Amino acid sequence: MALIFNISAGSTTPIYRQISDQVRLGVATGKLAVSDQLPSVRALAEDLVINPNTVARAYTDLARDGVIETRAGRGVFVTKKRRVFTREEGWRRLAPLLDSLLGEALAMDFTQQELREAFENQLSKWKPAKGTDHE
Amino acid sequence: MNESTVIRTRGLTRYFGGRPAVYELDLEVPRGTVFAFLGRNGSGKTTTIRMLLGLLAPTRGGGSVLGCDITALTPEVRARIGYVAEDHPLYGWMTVRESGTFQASFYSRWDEKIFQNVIGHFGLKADRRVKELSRGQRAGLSLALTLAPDPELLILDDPALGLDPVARRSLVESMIYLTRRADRTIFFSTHQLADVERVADRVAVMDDSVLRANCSLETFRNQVRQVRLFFGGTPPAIPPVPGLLRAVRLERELRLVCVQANGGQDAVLKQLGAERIESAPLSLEEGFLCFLGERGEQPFILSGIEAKYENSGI
Amino acid sequence: MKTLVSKEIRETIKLAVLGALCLTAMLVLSYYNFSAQMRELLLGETDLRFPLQPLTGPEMRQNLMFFCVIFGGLLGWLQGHHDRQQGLWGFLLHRPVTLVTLFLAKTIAGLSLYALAAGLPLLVYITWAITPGHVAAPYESAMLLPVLAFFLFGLPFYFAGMLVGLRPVRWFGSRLIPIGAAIVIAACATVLPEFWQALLWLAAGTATLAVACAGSFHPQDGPAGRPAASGLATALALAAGWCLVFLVAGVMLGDVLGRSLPGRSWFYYVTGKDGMIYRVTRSSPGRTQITDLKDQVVLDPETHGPISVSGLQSRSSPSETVFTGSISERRSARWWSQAFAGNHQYRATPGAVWFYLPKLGRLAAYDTVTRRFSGTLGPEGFATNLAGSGAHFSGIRGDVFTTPETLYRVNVYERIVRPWFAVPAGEGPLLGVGQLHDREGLDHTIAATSNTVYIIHPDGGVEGSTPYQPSHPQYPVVRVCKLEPAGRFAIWFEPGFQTNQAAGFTLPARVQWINGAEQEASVELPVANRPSTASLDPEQIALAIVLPPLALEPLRWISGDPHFPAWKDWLQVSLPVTILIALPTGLWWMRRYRLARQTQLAWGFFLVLGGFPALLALFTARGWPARVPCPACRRRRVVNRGQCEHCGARFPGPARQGIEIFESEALVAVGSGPSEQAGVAPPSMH
Repeated sequence: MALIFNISAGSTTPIYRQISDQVRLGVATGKLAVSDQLPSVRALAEDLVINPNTVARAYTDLARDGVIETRAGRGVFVTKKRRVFTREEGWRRLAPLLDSLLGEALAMDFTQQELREAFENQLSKWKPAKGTDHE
Repeated sequence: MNESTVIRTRGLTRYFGGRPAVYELDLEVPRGTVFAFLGRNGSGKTTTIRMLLGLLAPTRGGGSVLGCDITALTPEVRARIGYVAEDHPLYGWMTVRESGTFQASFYSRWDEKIFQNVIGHFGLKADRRVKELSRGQRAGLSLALTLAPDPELLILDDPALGLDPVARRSLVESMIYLTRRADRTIFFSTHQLADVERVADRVAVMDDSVLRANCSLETFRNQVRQVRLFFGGTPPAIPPVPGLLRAVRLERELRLVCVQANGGQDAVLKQLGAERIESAPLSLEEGFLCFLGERGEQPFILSGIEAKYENSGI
Repeated sequence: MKTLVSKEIRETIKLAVLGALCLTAMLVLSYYNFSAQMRELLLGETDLRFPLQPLTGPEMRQNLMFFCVIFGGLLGWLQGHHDRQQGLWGFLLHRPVTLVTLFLAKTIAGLSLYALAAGLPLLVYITWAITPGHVAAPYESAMLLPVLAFFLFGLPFYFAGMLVGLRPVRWFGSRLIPIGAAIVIAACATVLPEFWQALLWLAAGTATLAVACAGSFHPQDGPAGRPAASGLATALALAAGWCLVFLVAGVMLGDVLGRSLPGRSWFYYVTGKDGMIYRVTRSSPGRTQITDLKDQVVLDPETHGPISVSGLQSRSSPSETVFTGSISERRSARWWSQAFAGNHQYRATPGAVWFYLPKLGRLAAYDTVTRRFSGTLGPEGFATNLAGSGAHFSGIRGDVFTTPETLYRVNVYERIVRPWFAVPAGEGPLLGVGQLHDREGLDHTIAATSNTVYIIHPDGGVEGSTPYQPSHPQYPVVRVCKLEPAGRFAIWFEPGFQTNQAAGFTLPARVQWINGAEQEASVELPVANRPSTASLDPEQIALAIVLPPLALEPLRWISGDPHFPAWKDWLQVSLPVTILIALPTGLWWMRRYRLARQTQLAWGFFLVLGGFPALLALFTARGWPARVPCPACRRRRVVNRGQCEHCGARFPGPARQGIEIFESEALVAVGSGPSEQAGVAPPSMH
C-alpha cells in the first residue's frame, strides 16, 4: 500500500472524512492505482488507533461513491473507473486551491500570460492516471 | 442472555444531602458500542458509574446492567463487568505480579497473555511494587487487570486523568483492542475529547446532574454548528435563537453556536439582516465547550480593553 | 477466598506482630517482677505485697484486659478502615464474590491473627506458669477463667472496631458508638453468676456485632437490599452503645440534680469513743447536721460551735462488722469475684510461701527454692500432702483461722497450729468471725454464735460478751465498737437490708453497751439509711429518665447495689418517659420517612423497651434521605420516594433547555415524558 494515512483528532474535519478524503486524493493523484488493496477495516483501525466503525464509515462512503469496492473474502480494493468526486464537489475543492495559488502569484507580480504558460507547462508533466475516465 | 442493551437506567437519581448529584437519568447503552460519558467535573458522572456498579445506593429510580438489577449485582454478573475506578485504586503493597495473581484468582476466564501484553505495553516490570508506580503505570496495571478477564462490559471512570500522551495512547489502543469482538461494550467517562473522537460511537453528556445529550458522535458534531453573520455595521442585538449555546459579538460580525433545531433557527437568523451568513465548522472540542459552557451572549473577552483604547483616542 | 484471606493477613500482619511484641513484653515484664519478688523472698524479705502467682496478679490482669480490648478493637478497625478508602472499597466490592465471602475472608484473617498474636504468647506463658517448679504458688484451673475471659473480650471489640471502620456515617460521634456496645457486652459478662453464662453472653454479643458488620459490608448505604438480620443487629449494637452514653449522661445529670435539688435527707449513726451515739444527717451535699439522739446539735467544747464531720471522725470508735447471715456471699455471687477471690496469699517464711486455699480449707506451703509444693497446715498440724488428715479450716479472718467450733492461731515459722478459742459446749457453731483493728494495733476478735457475741482479747481471753439469740433472730449484722476506757464496747444489732426491706423498713437497730461481761444499757433506734420507699433519688430519677426499661436489670446486676430501686419504682418513671417521648418521636420520624409498616412495628416495640437509646439507634442506624420542597404543594418531601407524600405529585423530569440532543438508535427510547422531547431527528446517515 502506497498510501500513508495521516489522521488528526481535534480537527474540524471528522476522522471518517479525513480517511475518505485521503483515499480520494490518493486516487486522484495516482498514489493509489486501480486494484490497489487498502488495509482492512480492523487493520486500519488498529493502525490509526481509531474506532473500527469510523473506518467502516469511511469505507462505506467510498464504496458508495464507487472509489473502492469490497471483494468478499479478499479485502478492499480501489475500483477501476468513475470519478472520485462529483464534478460539483471537485469544483468546490478546487476553487480555494486556485484562489490561493493565483492570489499568491499575482501578489508576486506574475503576469497572466506567464501564469498560463507555467500552468500548461506543468500540466504536461503530469500523466493522467491510467484508466481514469475523463468525460 | 444476550440483550441488546447492556446498561439501562430509569429515573436514576442520587441526592447528597438536599442536592441531586444525578437527577432522573434515563440512559441506555446498546451492546457493542463504545460509549463516551462526558460532562464537567461534578456533573454526576462518577456518581452514576458508582450506582451502576452497585457501590452506591440510588436515592430513587434504578437500572440494570447486563440484565441484572444494579442494587443486587450477582458475582456472576460482576465477573462479566470490568471496572476501572477513578484514580486506579490498587493495593499499594502488592507487586505487579501479585496484583495479577490476586485478580486472576477471582476470574475463571483470566487470560494471562492479555495481562502480560498490556503490562508490557505500559512498560511495567512484574516485580515492581504498585505504590512505586507512576500514574500512567498504575493506569496500565489497572487496565491489564480489567482486560485480562475478558469483560463483556468495560466501565472506565476517567481512565485518562493525569496520563501522559504515551500512556493515553496505550489506553486508547487497549480500548480499540477490546472492540475486536463486536459484542463487547465500553462505557467510559473522560475529559479527553481527542480520545472520544478516536474511539467513541456514541456520546452522552451530563450537565449539572442532568443528561443533556445522548446521541452518536456524528450527530453531536452535526447538531452543534457555528454560524457567522457578517454585517455592514454594528450587529443587532441577538434575538432568542432556539438552541443557542453561545454568541459572540464582534465589530461587524455575530458568531453564534447553536444546536440545530427543527428549522425555526434559520428563519430567526435571516431576520437579522446580515449581509452574508456563513457556516463555519467546529471541532468536537469546541462544540463540546460551547455545549457545556456558559450559555447565551458572551462579551468578547477583550472588550473592556478596547473600550480603554477608544477613550484614550487610539 | 484464599487470596482474599491472604490479602487481609498481609495488610494486618504488621499490627499483629506489633501486638504480639507488646504482649510478649508485658508478659516478660510480669515474669521479671515475679523473679524479683522471689529473690526478695530468698533474701528474707517477707513482706508479701506482690502476688506470687503471675496469673492472678491484678496488674497482670488489668494490663491483659486493656491489651486484648485495644488490640482486638484496633485490628478490627484497621481491617474495616483500610478498604474504606473510596476507590479501594469499590475495587474490593467489585470482586465477583458475595459480600458474605468478603466479610468472612476479613474475619477469618483477623481472628486468626488475633488468636496468634494474643493467644500464642499467653498460651506459652500460661503453660510455663502452671508447670510445677516454675511458680511457687498453687494453681487452679479457675485462675485461668479471667485470662480466658479477657482474651475473649477482644472479640466483641474486634467486631466493634470493624464496625467503626466500616459504617459510613456522616455524624462522626455515632461512628464510635459500637465501641460502647462492646464495653457493655464485656461489662455485663463480668457480672453474671456463672462463667458459662458469661461465655454464652459473650458469644451472643460477639455474634450480634459480627452480623452488624456483615451487613455494613453491603454497599448500599441506604436501607435497600440490606438483610433484616443485620439491620436488627445494628440496631441492637447501636442501642447498647447509646445506653452507655446515656448512662454516663444520666449519672452526670443525676449529679447535677442531686446538687441542686433538695434531696431526700438520710442519716447514719456514729458511735463515739465514749459510747455516745451521734446521728449524722445529710440532706444534700454540703449540708450535714450532727446531733445527739435527742436531736440536739452537738457542740464542740472548745469552739462552742457545731462539730464538724472531721471532728466527729476523731471522736469515733474503731469498729468491726460481722455478718452472721449469708448476705455477703449472695452479693458477690459472680464468677468474676469468685475467680478473683482465688487463693489467699498468707505469709512468707524463710524458704517458703504460704497460701490459704479456701476450697481445701488449709494453708499450703510452696518452697521458694524448688518452687514446688511442700506441704499443708490444717487444724491438726502439718502434712506433706494437700489434704492432710482431711481436717480443714472453714475460713480465715486476719490472723485467726476458724472451724465451726474453734478459733486457731497458726505459726507458719514453726508449722504449728494452736487452738485459741473454743465455743462453749452446746452453743452451736460460729456464725461469724471478724477482727477489730484499732490504732494501737491491739486486734480484738469478734466471734458470734447463735447465742452469744464474744469479744476476744489478742491473748485469747474473752474480754466481753453479750447474748445474741434469741432476741434478734433475724438480725444478721453485728457491729462491735471498741470504747474507752478499755473493756467497754457498744454492740449494734441491725437487720439485713433485704430483711428490713421485706418488713417495710420498720425494724429498728438495737445497741447494747457492755463493760466486760456486764450488760450496761441498750437502746432501740430507727434504722439508719432508711431509703424512702415512695420515690427515687434525684440521681435515680435522672437515670430512669434516660435509661430504658430494658437496661434496668443489667444495670442492677452491674451495680450489685442492694439499694437499687425496685423495678416497679423504676418503671414508674422510665416507662412513661419512654412511651410519652421516645415512642412518639420515633413513630413521627418513621412516618416522615414512610418506613414499611412492619419496620415501624418492630422499631416501635424496640422503642418501648429501649427508650432514648433505641431512639438514638433509630436515628443513627442508617442515613436518612434529605427533604426538599415539593414544587406542587411547597411542603418538604422526602427525596427517595417517587412522589410527594403530601400531594402525590411526582418529581418533575429535568428542566429542558432547548439544547438537548437525543437520538434514538432504533432500540433506544430516551426521555421519560412525551412532551419533554426537545431533541432533534437524527440526520440521514446513509
